[in-house]
Amino acid sequence: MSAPGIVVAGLRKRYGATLALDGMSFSVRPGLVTGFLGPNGAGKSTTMRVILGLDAVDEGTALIEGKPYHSLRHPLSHVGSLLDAAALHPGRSARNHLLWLAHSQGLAARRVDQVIEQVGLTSAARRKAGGYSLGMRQRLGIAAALLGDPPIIMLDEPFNGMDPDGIIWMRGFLRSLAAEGRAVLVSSHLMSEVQDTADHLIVVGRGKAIADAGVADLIAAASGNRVALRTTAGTHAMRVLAHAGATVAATGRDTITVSGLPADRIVALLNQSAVPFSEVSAHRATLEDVYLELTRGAVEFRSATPTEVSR
Amino acid sequence: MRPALHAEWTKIRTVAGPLWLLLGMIAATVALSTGATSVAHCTASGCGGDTTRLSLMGVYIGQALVAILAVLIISGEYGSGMIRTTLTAVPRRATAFAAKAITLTGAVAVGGTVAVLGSVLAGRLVLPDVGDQALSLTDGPTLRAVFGTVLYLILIGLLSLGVATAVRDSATSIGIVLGLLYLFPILSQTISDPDLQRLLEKIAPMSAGLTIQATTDLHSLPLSPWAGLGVTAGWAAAALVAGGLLLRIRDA
Amino acid sequence: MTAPTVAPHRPGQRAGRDGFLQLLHAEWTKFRTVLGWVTGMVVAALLVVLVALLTGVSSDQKGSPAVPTGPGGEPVTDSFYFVHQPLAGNGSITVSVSALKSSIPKGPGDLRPGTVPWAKAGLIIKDGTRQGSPYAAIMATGSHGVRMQDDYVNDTAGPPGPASAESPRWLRLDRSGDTITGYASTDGTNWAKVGTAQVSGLGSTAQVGLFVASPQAVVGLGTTGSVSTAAFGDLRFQGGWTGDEWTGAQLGAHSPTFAGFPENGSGSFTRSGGRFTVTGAGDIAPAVRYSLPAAGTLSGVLTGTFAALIAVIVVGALFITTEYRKNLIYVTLAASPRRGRVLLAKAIVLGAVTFVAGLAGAVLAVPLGERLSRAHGVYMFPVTPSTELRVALGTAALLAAASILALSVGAIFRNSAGAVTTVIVAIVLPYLLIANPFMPASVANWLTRVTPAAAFAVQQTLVRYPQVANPYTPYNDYYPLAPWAGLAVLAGYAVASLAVAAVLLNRRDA
Repeated sequence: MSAPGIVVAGLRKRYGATLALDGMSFSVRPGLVTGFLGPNGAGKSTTMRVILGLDAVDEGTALIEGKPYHSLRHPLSHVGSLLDAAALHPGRSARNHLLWLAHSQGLAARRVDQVIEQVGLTSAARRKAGGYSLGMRQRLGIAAALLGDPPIIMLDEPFNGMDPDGIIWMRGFLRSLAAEGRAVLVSSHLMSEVQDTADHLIVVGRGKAIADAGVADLIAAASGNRVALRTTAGTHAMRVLAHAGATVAATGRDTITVSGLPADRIVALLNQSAVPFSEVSAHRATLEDVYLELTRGAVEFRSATPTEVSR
Repeated sequence: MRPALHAEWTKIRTVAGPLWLLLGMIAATVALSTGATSVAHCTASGCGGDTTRLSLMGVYIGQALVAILAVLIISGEYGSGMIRTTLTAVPRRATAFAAKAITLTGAVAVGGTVAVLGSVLAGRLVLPDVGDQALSLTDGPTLRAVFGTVLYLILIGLLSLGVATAVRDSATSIGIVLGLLYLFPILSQTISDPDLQRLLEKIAPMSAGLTIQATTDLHSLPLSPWAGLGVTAGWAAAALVAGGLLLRIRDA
Repeated sequence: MTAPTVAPHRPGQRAGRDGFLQLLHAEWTKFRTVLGWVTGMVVAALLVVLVALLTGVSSDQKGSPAVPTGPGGEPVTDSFYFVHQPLAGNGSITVSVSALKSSIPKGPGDLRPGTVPWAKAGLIIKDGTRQGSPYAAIMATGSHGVRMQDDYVNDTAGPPGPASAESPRWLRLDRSGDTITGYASTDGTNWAKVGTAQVSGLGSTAQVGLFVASPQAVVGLGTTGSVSTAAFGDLRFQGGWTGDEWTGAQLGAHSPTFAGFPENGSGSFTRSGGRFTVTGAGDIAPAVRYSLPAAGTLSGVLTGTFAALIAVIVVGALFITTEYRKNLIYVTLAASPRRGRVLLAKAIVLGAVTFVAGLAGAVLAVPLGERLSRAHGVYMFPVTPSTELRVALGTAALLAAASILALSVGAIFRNSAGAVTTVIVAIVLPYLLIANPFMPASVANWLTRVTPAAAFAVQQTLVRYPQVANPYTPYNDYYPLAPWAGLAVLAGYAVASLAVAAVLLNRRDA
């Protein structure tokens, strides 16, 4: 195994007049949950289809452990993926769906029952998939992704249509997969879904990666070492802190944002000048802020009804 | 290849559709064959034609059900999006396509054999004395007709699979396949130029292929029986190549 | 605590009348905005035209002899053995027929005695020997008794029973201007009038005499040539006869509507005193399919209907099954919860679009195909403008009914491949079966009465003549049902399945 995980380099793809991918490059490392974030139509699904060898690109490469997908002998033991949970024959049961997939990889039926149990579908496994709820289909899709016990898992919008219980289950599940040393790539267009799950983020817009960093680094960069101060003597405090070289701004009736000074220095200065205050805290930007900041300008559709780029 | 085949076989046996289509194909084929033999005006001197061909007439309708089976094997996956799952599991598209074709061939071979033997049996029961001589499986030409009709049904299945892979939509695919099969004979009836008429009969997938059923009057056929089946095989091969190429070059 | 009052929301857009017209408009918008469906309809129309052009250019019958036509313009057979002399002005002729025997070949050159029901032996008065010229005749026939016929298409029955030596038939033909009267007698003394014919175009001097005709005999689904010999006696005449010189010849020996004598047969006459023995073949009658096997018909020109059928069936089925596959049906039924009306609106829109496409195709195809065929020397069975209109409208209606059938079956099956196959097989397979050489006429007729293939009757243009034996089978363009009745069978299937589909749509979960 030359390079573990997924390495995507310089993908370019055009559908008629639309440039779907415009130099998409990133890598997905083992042991981490990597969030693949971007607005609808930014190229997330297309990139995933390219990684799986379903769509051809005009330029660039997408390699699984250093090899193109189509050269993998038993691909499901290298990458497990879920693109569209609805892509099922409505007349076939979950177990039989997994069974044919298992047979395509030379896997035994025993493995099918294992993954069914793992995703909690045992009671419904022999019912026709046509009657499944969206959440059940998502679980079946996850089971299919786990079938080959692959070191890489790639899921397209796995939280879509899940109920709160399902979302909590999915988060824990993804964390445990990463903890087992797998590379996990999860796409989403909603920040809140991956907020507490991802270790690493790839933010895409207009067909390319516009940020590729750890979640902590991204938040720190967006927070910019700012401190929030709550005080009833706002004018006095601002004068004292500005005098000490900080940049200050009133952000509310009794709140001030201070940057340029660490929090302990601010507390010392205020105590020295006997300025009353009730709270000093480090200001933390949310991922939402980061995301909006990054994707501003990269968003292709800002209409009231976001639409996926149709192919 | 073996795992891909195993997967396709699991797919075809774990939904009810294919089995019912095959059973329907057998029932329709035997029913039409029996109907045709029982209405034919047979006298001691014969039925005014080829009794083997008469008792195998059920393939006229049986082939339509084979075409549905073949089309659904591929357009069903395009309809639901499951084709992506299939190609993710078996990324070599030629292998995935070949596995489908082989599985279909197996299914049609079994169903077709039952349908054809059932038709011959019905023919023997319905045509009392006349049929005995002509409908014996120990008779070379009859055996060729029976075996060839099963091959014909397989070829129609492969033709349909190729068309459906190229076209992807099931209704359009089945329309094209049934058009290819049924329109040529009707068109050749209205063409008054005998040379052109004979040419149409030679190139039409159904007219040419069914010459494999002829056991009498072979010299008056536009093509020899095996050459006729070869024409149908050519159509099937062309459709498979077109479908296979498009599957390879198109995004799934 | 009092709850704050909230004004209920009023839609800003006033909805229009909750009418069926809106539903139609919605379905029309759905139809026209899917490129594939519009293309399918255009392709259907083009296929009708293209096949018409193909059948036109693929035929080459240049230089074939002209088809004789009768006074009414219809194609005729005017080939019989005629023993005649001129009659100036008015007069009458009487003869007895004491035998009429026919032979049919069993094999090449092997003539055996047989029955030819419409073998004819009798008297004829004709405006010369020109092919297709006006005439009136009275005759004994093989098994249809005495008949009086004139101008090819008219036929009146006289005394029944065959002519024989024990029971001869006496016949008399009387000319008075353009009025020809025929009489028959079974004893030579008591005469009964059989009929009167007004034959316009008879010159002042007509050719009058004895004739023998022997049309092809229907054997199974085919025909075979025949030859007949009759014995005449007691020849008497009154009026402007020129003498006693009789000329005998087989008329129309090279006409395209005459298949010729069977091998070892030929025409002749012998005379001894008042007794004549005459042998002839052919017929004097309107031409039918077997007498003009290479002639073109409107249904032949419109063979493209079959190709168009497949296109409209595919579009018809997709018009409903796509809604199920994409769950668009939820949106449709949410917008108009009365499900039966939705289906009806779909049927009307689809039927109307198909009708227009089919009519456009047929209206272009008919004149183009006819013109091209004629240019390549093909004789086209003549049709009146009203028949031509009926065929064009009927073809459009046939396609429309088929598309509605496909829509209904699609709604019942909710599966496009199954629906398309069912409807194609139901309409096209019976047609293939009737073209099979094994198919007895009774079964072919039954198939074209009860299956949706009955609708092809609407394209038939050939006329059945009871006085001409011919395999009147659907394969030969003679359908058991009248044109509109045949179409009604298909329309019945369409309406019935639409009703079933509406019931199921209401009963089933969407």
